[in-house]
Amino acid sequence: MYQIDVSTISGFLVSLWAIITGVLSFDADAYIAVLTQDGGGRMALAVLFVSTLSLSIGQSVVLFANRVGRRRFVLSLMLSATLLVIGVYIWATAVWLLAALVFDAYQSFRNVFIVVSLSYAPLVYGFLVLLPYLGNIIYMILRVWIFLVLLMAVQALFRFGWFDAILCSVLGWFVLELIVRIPMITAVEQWLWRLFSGKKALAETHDIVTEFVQSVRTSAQAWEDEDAE
Amino acid sequence: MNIVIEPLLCLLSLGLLLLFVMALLSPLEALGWWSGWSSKHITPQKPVEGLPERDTVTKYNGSYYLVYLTAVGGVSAEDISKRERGFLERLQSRIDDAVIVDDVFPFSVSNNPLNGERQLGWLWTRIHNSRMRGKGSLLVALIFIRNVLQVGVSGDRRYGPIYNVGVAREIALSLLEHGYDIGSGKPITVMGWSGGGQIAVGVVPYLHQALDAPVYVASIGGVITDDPGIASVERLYHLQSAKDKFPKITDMLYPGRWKIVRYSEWNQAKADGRITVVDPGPMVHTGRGDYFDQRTTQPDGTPNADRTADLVAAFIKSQPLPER
Repeated sequence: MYQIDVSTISGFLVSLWAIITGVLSFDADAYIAVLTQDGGGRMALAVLFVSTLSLSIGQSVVLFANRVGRRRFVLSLMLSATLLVIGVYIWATAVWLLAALVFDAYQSFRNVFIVVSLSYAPLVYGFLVLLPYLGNIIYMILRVWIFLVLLMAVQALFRFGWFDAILCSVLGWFVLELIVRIPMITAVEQWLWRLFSGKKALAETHDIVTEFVQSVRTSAQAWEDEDAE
Repeated sequence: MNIVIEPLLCLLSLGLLLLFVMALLSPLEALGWWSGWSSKHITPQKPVEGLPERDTVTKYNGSYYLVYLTAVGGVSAEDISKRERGFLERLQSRIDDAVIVDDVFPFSVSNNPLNGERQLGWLWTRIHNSRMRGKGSLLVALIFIRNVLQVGVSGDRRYGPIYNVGVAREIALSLLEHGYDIGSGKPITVMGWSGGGQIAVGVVPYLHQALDAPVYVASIGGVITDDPGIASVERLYHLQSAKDKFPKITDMLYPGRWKIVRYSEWNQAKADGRITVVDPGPMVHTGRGDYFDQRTTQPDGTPNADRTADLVAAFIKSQPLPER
């Protein structure tokens, strides 16, 4: 079945691919392998980072729009992936606490983190969000896919019924949404974006383009006025 | 049996893979241009770089300014077909005081033709030359696919603003070179055939802002998405023959074009009476019997190209001119 090998880079990559394909096909053995074998925690983290990095590439249009340079672009992708990983960590913590406090179901935090992390495996296709027209549809499909995989995993891990699994996961997500909206957290996030992207703020594409058109207008008017003088 | 099927499947897989890679890379030209990563670099400090000396500009002083954007089969603005040239000549003969701008290639954000200075320029040049000799029809499909994907980029709300502002900038520069006076209020009509119709709609808000001009769109069998640019169009004149099925593709693919989505830009503009859809008679999308065909005639004996030119000219002449 699934053998996790973290002793060599090639072994790690082969194991990583096998685990990702296993999770994507809803194979419970992939979860069991990561939960029970040595190196499982690192493997879950690797799955999560690869997935979030892929999505960050798919959503990189905002970095292009803000004219972030090549080096800072790579740094910003790394930051984006890391922030997503932190978000997953918070979600896992919320699910772990809710399961214990509300549903009276206990598991180690390591197991919950592994399960939630692996559920993000569908995001390995996150780079496809770049596709014109189809990108947004693909993103929605990936979100639904993640949620279904997570439900299955949470249900199996805590031996919940479907209703409890849905309630626990959704409440966990709700807690995550509340936390990321805390002003201090938002301020830290924006500070990190400024630090990594080198921009004062990451503006919306529409605003940047409007500003550009204004500069075209001003320059063109000046060019035309030269003639009048 | 396998000797036939397996290579065919293999070719099909390779074709799909190529299509997928082309689709994935399609936004990068616009994004690279905007971010300054590509050699076709502009900066906000030099937004109109490339304009000639003011005294070298020909002062046409027309009443109407028309911009023609070719269809997805084009490789450059220069290499448009004889039929298209014929149509533009017919249009000019019908509107004496019109200035026609036809030097903007709508499927490049920086007006860089496919056979111009670009990494795969040699490939597009070879394909185009083969087409001119009547060969390589399979490879010619690559030009269509590449340009259709750029239409998708223009119609995508994430990339569209960047793509469309690039093309709008090129159109604005060309209009200035052709003597358009900013703030004169003279109507600008962007005419787009097929995929050029989407680009025509996409550039409108930026042209309107940059030149302080009323901007109209004449779509000739245009494939138009529910683009936010529609909100800035004075009037959109959409020629669509019942025989031409291609424009209906966007009717299906973009929910904003569905009648039930009442508050989409397209349906709002229709409700406001700013969109006029006209069936010019039996015409196909492209090739023999299309909108610009001079040899194929309508049931009343009018050549297709004349019918199209008559309708578009009437639309242009209906636009109000600024008071002198």
